[in-house]
Amino acid sequence: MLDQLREITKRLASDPSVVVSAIYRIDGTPIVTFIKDKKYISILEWLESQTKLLLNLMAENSLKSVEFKTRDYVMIIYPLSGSLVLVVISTSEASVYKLRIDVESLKRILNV
Amino acid sequence: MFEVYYTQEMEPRKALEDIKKGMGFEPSLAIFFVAGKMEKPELLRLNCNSISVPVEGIITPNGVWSRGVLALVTDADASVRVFEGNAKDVVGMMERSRIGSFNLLIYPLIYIKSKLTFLRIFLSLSRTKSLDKASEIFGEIIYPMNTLLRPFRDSKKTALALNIFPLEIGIGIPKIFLNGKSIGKSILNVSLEEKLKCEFNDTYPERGKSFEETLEILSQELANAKRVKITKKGLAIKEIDGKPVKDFLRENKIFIREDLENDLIQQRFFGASPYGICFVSKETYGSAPLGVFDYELKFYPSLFDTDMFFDDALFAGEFIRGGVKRVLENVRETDFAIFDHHFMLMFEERVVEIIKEKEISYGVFSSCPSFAGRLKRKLMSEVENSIYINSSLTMAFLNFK
Repeated sequence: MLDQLREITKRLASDPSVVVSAIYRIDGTPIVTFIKDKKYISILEWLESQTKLLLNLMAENSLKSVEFKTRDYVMIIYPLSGSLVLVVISTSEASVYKLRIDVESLKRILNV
Repeated sequence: MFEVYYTQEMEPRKALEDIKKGMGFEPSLAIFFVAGKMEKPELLRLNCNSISVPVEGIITPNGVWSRGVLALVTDADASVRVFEGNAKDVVGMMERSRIGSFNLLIYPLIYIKSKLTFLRIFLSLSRTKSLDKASEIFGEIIYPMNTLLRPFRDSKKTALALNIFPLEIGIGIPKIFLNGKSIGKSILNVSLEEKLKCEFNDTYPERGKSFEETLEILSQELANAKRVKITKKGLAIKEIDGKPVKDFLRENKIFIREDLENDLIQQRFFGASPYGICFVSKETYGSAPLGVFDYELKFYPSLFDTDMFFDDALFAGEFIRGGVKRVLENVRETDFAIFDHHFMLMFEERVVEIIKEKEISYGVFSSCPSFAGRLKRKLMSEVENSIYINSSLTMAFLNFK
């Protein structure tokens, strides 16, 4: 399973616009993290501090996914199962609909 | 004289009133670009040749809108000719017709008239094993982008084609009207005697001088690029690397849409894909990508004639290195711009930055405009001499002065 999760994060990161792809447990514990440069750690830390709160919000409001957009980044938080959540951070160069299709495809492969 | 008017009124009679208010001359031609759902767009008519075309968005000095009507009107010497038949017949008719200095082609890129047509095409495709036959069958519903531009290139005239392929396609869609009547699967040629300044561009670097060089440029440019071999003929694609398109996508862990019949009938066929095959031209080493979906099809349709492309190609995901900044380098300040609608899907609300940064007065987001004419740059999208096509991320700029 861990290998499969690693494969997912690696595959997402093969898109040149993706700078971080990570999988968290629903309680906010990171399981697999793929990061392209140290400079993205601060964004990841900020996101980690929000993960638990966000996941609660998503569960309470039946949200399919949550997206943040800043001037330079697009962040997608997407539940993979009842206990796992995928976090993708890309630069603003990203084709946003390609990213969504990639995330949905990987969820179907994982089939959890 | 060319003027542009717009309204966000979606009731056709009221929209027409709004548009007429500011009009200071008797037009000889009116083209109404309609964004968003409108009941009876055929009612958008003036006392002249009037065309109504669906688009995904309109650009006005106030911003970009997904609802509203933009009217391009002129009193110039303009004729509108209608051509109907398969691509070969239409090309012949165009060659024999009088071609003006500037030509605007408006036509449905794919048109399935009825559910019956869909079932007939589907059954014919499933019964045949021949790629030639499959290409012939697709020819009943597709006008290949490159083929249609050849008469204009050969007569050394300029042509800009609006290959209408809405994001949401269904049976009998897109609906294009000429003087209140649906043109169905026909081609309109709006031909102007006067020369109109028209520029065309894409978002790729210039093409290479050989097959390998172009492939290398594209590999550096796009996401998840992979060299593949295509089994193809004309408008039909049978296999990618020896596998049906769906199986190839599954192997590459890509899931997009699956139920073709249901999607078409419910008008939920989504006419855009971020993954495609980048073909390389044998004639110019230019390239045109073809978006692919994972529908269960024995043969996959191409929107352009693939015969002048190599069998080896690149499978890749959509990506523009540099994002909006890079697009801005390719956008010209203009009176009227036509952008491919993939820009909206890729960059969403950030497309407004493109319009704000450059002085674009008016325009539309439609599907992959193509072009025939002479350009100085060695554009990637020039796939035949003086013919520029691409199934995504092209743009054209018209100047009226």
